[in-house]
Amino acid sequence: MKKRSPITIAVAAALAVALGVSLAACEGEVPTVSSSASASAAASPDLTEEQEKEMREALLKTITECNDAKTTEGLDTAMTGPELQIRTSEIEIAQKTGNLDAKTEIPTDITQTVIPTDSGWPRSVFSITTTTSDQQSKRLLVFTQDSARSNYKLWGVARLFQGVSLPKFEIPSIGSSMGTDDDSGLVMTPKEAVERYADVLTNGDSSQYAGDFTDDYFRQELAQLEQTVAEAMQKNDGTSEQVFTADLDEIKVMRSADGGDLVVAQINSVWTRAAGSGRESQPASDAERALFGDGTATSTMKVTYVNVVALYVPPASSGDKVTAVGAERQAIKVEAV
Amino acid sequence: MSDADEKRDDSRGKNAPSRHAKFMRGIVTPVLGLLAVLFIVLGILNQTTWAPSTDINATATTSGSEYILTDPGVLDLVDSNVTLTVTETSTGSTDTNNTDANATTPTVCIAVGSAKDAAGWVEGFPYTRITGLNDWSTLSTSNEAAQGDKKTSDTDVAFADSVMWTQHVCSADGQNTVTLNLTNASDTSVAIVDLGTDTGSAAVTMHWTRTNPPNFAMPFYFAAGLFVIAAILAASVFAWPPEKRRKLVHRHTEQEREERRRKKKEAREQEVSIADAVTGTIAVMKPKKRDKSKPRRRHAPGVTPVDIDMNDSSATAGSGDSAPSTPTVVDPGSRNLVADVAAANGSAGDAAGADTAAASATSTGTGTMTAADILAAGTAAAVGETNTTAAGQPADADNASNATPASDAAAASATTDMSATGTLSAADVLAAGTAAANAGTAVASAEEPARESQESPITEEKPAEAQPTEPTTETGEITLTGISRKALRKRRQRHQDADNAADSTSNADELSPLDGNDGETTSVITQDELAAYFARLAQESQEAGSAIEADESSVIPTIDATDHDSASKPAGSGAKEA
Repeated sequence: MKKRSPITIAVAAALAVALGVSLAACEGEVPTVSSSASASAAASPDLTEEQEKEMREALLKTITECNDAKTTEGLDTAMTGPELQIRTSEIEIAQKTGNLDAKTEIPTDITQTVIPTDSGWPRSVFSITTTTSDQQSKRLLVFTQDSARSNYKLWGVARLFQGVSLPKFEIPSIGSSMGTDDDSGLVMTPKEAVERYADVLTNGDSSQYAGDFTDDYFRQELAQLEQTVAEAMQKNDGTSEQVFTADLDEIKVMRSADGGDLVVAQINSVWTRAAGSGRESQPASDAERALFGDGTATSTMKVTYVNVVALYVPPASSGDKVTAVGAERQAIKVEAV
Repeated sequence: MSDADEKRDDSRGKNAPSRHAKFMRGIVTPVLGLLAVLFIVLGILNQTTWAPSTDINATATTSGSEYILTDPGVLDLVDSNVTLTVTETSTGSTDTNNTDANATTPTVCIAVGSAKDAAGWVEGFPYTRITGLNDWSTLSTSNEAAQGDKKTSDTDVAFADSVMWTQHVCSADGQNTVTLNLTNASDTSVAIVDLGTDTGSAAVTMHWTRTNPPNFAMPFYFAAGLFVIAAILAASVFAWPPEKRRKLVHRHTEQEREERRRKKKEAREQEVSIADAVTGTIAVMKPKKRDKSKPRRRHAPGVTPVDIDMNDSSATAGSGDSAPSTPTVVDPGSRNLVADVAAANGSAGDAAGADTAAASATSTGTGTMTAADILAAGTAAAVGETNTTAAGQPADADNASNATPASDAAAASATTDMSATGTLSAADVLAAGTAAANAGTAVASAEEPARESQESPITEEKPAEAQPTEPTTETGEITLTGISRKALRKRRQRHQDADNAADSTSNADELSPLDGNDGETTSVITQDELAAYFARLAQESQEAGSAIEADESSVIPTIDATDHDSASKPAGSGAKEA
């Protein structure tokens, strides 16, 4: 072992002590924010499932309160878009008839929810309820948050057709991305799908786009209804015509996991019934009658409907037809022209 | 102090500690010990007084913006358990309509949500960012201008009512401070503070409780442990003198070296010097004269040692028949040297040089009979010494008593020696032969191998030995036929008797070359060995009686009697050649 002079030893000891003291006074290194933290927040779902449930339950609570009270006061805090119009009409009818239509029932439990990952606004959440207690079909609920400073509201409700299968979506913890009405890669853009469907609804099988859509319950029902009314009108030398127009401002698109789009859109329709000369055109249903109320019938009656349709537009590679999976229809205005 | 110096330093006692040890134990060890204690103390201090605090409180003040946002990753910067406290410090309110006392105090709310939600909320508004820690007690902030456009409307929900926040808390009425506790902060959630007034200035405090504070004491304890070990080593191992330390390592090697040295010594004793080997070889090469009438045998089946009684001329005279047809091959293994010696003692009469030869012969005492040993024994017998050593039985020199006739004794003892060892080497035979021829020479040569106990009390015999050693094999004139058959037979007979008396267990039966056994050969001797042997025999007979010489002049080896000087050593050497 090498001899160490006392001076060397003393210096070494002093250095050791100094090092120890300087280290000892620290709390340690000040931590810094890692930059990776900000990058990872990109593709997370906008809502957790708990948040969606809270939001939905809160909304439904408000809606139910309005339903029960048969008042539209405060309904606009919970609803917006076509559903607001529909529900307003339904409540008005209920005020007249004393009963809310059975189709207004919205179950509180859901079977599936589709949550977007978009970081902008508006955001829409699709939720599918269970069947109702009286075995009505499932409802497709569409919630929307128009801006950051507003909350979600119920924008649209469409009753799903029986026997129709919905496309698959990502699980809520991963989230799906919303689509635009100009999405490409599909058999047709969502906007086109809605417009063409409106045309098909208007013209029936003679529409040039009839082949693009599978036959569905809504079209059949409508066709049957129109036929019945038309026959009745013709007996009176009247005419009946329903024109469907898509409202392209009210369209919500959600991309499914298989590359297609689920499009929920508002289609307005105006049913013009003109009775023959000298005849009155009367409301054709209880709802119309309730809406018409005390109005004076003339020979022409124009009834405005709000329709909410849910279309599944498949990807272009599949070659399938566009399928309507759900719809809702409500007369919102009856006027004698 | 170097190792040489230490060795020279005889001033201290043999067992007193060296200066090196004193230095190591007296200075270095205490210093290391003190350092160890110092580091332990520092470690304890770091664990207690100087321990990093677990409570971290960092504050910052903001002004000019209604909203305060933390950056992603700030909430869980120190620990996932964080408490955020915001105190609104602006005085007064711009709201003049509300005279309610509570209204003067805006409601401060803190909410936790995702970064994109918070960013969407503050869109169009200037806000303050909390970006991290400046030091352990200060938060770093950054004022940001409004980004995007305001998208407010009448239908906006209140800050606290937004469904975007996962957690929120608002100050109580009249209070301007609010605290939010978050137990599972992640690096994706941010905190957004709404001061309630856009002239807000606030003091923001973030408090963490560290669950994993850094451990500064461990390095000190570790260093202290190292110093303790170093101190122990300095006091023990490093204080030892270097040789002892070295010995620790090399002790094993030292033992091996001792072992090797000893083995070398033994090997050397068995070696024959070069000079001896050369002379022996040359002696062998000399032409031999044989009696052509006698059948010549290359290899005798076995040789029984035959006592050649030098004094018994009558006996040997009778053996004047020219050289025996077959040489006498000696098988040392079949002879009991002790018995032979006893027998030889009876006929021995010449003690000249016997003692010396015997002493030297017996002096090896190693139990292994080297050629030199045999030679010595043989010569001892030749000069009258009869106490030749049996194999493994070094006879005491004092036992040397009556000397047998030189030739007889030498031959006998030589052969007995050889029989005793059981191995008949060329050297052995040569030794026997030359010993017989040169009674005394073997003594001198035997002295070489017989290193260990040269305490031959009969050193005075040496001069006398010189004479018998005259006739040497150096001249090369060895004849196998120089020995009378009779003499040989007698020799053989005596040995056989001795054998029988001693109850020898060796295979004596096989040794009867003179009987004409040509089939049983217990040991094979080379021609050279035989030549040497018979040279010796010839010499013996020559010495014993000149009459024999006269009778068998033709066959007697013409050993020049004048070659005295060259007698001893070469003969001995030749005898010793292996």
